[in-house]
Amino acid sequence: MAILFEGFAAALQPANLGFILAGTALGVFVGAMPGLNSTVGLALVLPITFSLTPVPALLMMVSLYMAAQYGGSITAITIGVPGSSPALATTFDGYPMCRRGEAGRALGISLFASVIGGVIGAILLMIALDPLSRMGLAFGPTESFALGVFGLSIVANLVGESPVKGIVSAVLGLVFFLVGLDVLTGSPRLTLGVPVLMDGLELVPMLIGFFAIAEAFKAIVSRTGPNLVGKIGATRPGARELVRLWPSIARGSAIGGAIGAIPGAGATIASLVAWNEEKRASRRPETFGRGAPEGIAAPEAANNACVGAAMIPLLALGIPGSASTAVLLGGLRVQGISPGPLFLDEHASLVSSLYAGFLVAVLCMLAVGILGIPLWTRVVRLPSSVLMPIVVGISLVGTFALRGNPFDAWVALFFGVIGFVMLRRGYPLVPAVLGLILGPMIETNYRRALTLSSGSHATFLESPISLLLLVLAAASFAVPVLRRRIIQWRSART
Amino acid sequence: MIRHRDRWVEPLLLATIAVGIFIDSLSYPPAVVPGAPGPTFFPRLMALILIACAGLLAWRPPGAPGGQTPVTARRPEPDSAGGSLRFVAAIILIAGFLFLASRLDTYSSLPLLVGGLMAIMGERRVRVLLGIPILFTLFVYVVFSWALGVPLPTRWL
Repeated sequence: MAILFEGFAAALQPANLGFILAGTALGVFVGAMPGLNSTVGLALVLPITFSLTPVPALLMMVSLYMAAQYGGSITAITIGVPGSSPALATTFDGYPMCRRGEAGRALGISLFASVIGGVIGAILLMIALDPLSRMGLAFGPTESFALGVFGLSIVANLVGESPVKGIVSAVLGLVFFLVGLDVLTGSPRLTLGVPVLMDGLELVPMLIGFFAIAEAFKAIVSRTGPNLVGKIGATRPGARELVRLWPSIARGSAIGGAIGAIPGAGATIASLVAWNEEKRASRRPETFGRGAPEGIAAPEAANNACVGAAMIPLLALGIPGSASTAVLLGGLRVQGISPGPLFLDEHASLVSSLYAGFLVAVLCMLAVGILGIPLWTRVVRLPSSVLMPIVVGISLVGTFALRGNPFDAWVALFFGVIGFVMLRRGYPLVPAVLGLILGPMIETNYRRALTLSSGSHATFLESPISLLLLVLAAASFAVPVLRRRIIQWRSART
Repeated sequence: MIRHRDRWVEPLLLATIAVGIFIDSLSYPPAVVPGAPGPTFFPRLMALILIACAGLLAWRPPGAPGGQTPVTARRPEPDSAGGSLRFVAAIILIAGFLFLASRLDTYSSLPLLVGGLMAIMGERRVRVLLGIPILFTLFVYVVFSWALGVPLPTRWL
C-alpha cells in the first residue's frame, strides 16, 4: 500500500497529471478515428517521450493506450464503424441501441464498463504480475490453436437461423487471411501474381470496408440513414442499470484480464469472447445483436481490462503481446529500461508510478468520456446526406494513413462492395471478420503444433489448457444448435 | 424463371471460388516436416468446406426454412427509385477519388468525393454542398497533416 501511495504522489504531480490528461485525450481521439488506433497513437507520442523522464513518458503512453480502447467504442456505437478492431464486438449491440435512439445510454454504458474494466485490469497488474506472466508462458502453439478455435466458436452464436451462410462468411474470412506469403514457408498463396498482395490484406481496411463503406452504400441505395427513434441525448444509463450490469462487467473484465495476459491473443479476441460468453450466460440470448446493454458492457470491460493484463508479459518477461505493447517496449528501451524478470526489483518506483498512473488514467478517461458524450451523440443527429459522405471520407483517409499505402484504400472499397452484396444476400459480416482475425492464429499454431509433435494430433489432448479450451469450443458450437433444435421441436409440438 | 436462376448464382460462385483456391494450391511447396500439414492443407480444407456449403445452398434455396437473415446481418432498407444507379455512381466516385488522391492530391480530391456523395444522397442545398466538403477537408488537414503529422498522398500542398 505504501508503494501505491508513493506512486500516487508521483502520478498526481501537476506535470505528470498533464501528460496523463494529454495521453487520455489523444487516446480517445485516435481510438475513435477509423484507421487510427492505439499503436498509431503511441507511435505519434513516442518522439515526444524522448525528451521526458521515464515516469511521465510511461504515464502518457499507458493513459493513451487505455483511452484508445474506450475511444473505439464511440464510432462503433454512433455510426456502426469500430474505431479500432477491439471495438468490433461493441458494434453488435451498440449500433442497434443507437438506432433505437439510445446512443447516450449506450455510450454511458460503454464508458462505465471501460472504467471498471480498466480498474480491474490495473488491480490485476498489481496482484498477478508474477503468476499471470507464468500462465502466459504456458501458452505454446497447441494452446494458442485451441484458443483460436474457441474464439471461432463464437460464429455459432452469430449465424442466427442461417448456419450455412454464417459458415460461408467465416470461411471467406479465413480465405481472405490466406492471401499473402505463408508465414512458415514463405510461399505466396492466393496472390494471383500481384506483387502488392504479397504483404497480405490488412485487417483495418477490411473492417472499414465492411462496416463503413458497406453501410454507406446501404444508405446511398435506400437514401436513408440510421433510423433514429426518440431523443438521442435524453437517455443516460441510470445508477440502477449500472448496478444491474455489474455481473456482465465483472465477467468481461475477468475474460479480458485472462486473455490479455496471453501474448498474441489481444483485446479484439478478448472482447469477442466476452460478448459470446455474455450471450451464453444470458437468460435472454435472443436480445443480443439487437441492442442488449450487456452486449456493450462485457466487451468494453474486457478490452480495457486487457490493457493492464497486456502489461504483465511485457513487464515481467519483456514479451510484447501486441503491436501497441511493442511500441511501448520501444518507448521503455529509449528511456534505458529493459523489462524482464528483474524489472520489479530494479525499477520499483517506476512500477509504483505505473500502478497509480493506471488508476489516475482511468479517472481522466471517465472525465473526458462524460464531457464527450453530448458531443458524440450530436454526430448521429446529422442528416444522412451529410453524415454518410463524411463517414466515407474519414474512413478512406484513415486507410491511407494506416500504412501510407493507397492500396489499402482500394482494399476498403473492395470489401465495401463485397460487404454490401453479402448484406443484400443475407450473409452476416461478423463471421468473415472473425475468420480474418483468428485465421492466422489457428493455422500457424496448428501447423507449428503438429510440426513439433511430428504430426500427432494427440498433442491437442495432452495439454490440459488445450483440452479445456477445445471442450469449451465444442460446447460453444453445440449449445446454440441444440437450443435452436429444442425451440423448433417445442414450436412444432404446439 | 428469374428466381430459379437466382437460386444457382451463389452456389456456383462459391464453387468457382473453391475450385480457384484448389488450383492455386497446386503450386504450393510440400510440408517441411513429413506428417505435419504444409501450406496446402488449410486452403484445401477451406475449398472443401466452401464446396459443401455450395451444395447445401443449392439443395436448400434461401426461401426455405432456415434461410432467414442472421441476427448480425443488418437487414437492408428497401431500395428507393434509382438505387442501383446511385450504387454504381458511388463506386465510380470513390474509385475516382482513390485514383486522383494517389496521383494528384488528397486534399484537393476530398471535397469532390464528399460533395459528390452528398449530391448522390439527395442533398440539394448549395451552401451545404459547398461548405461541408471544404470544412471537412480543412478538418482532415488540421488533424492528420498539421497536428498528428500522418503522411497522406499530397502533391500540391
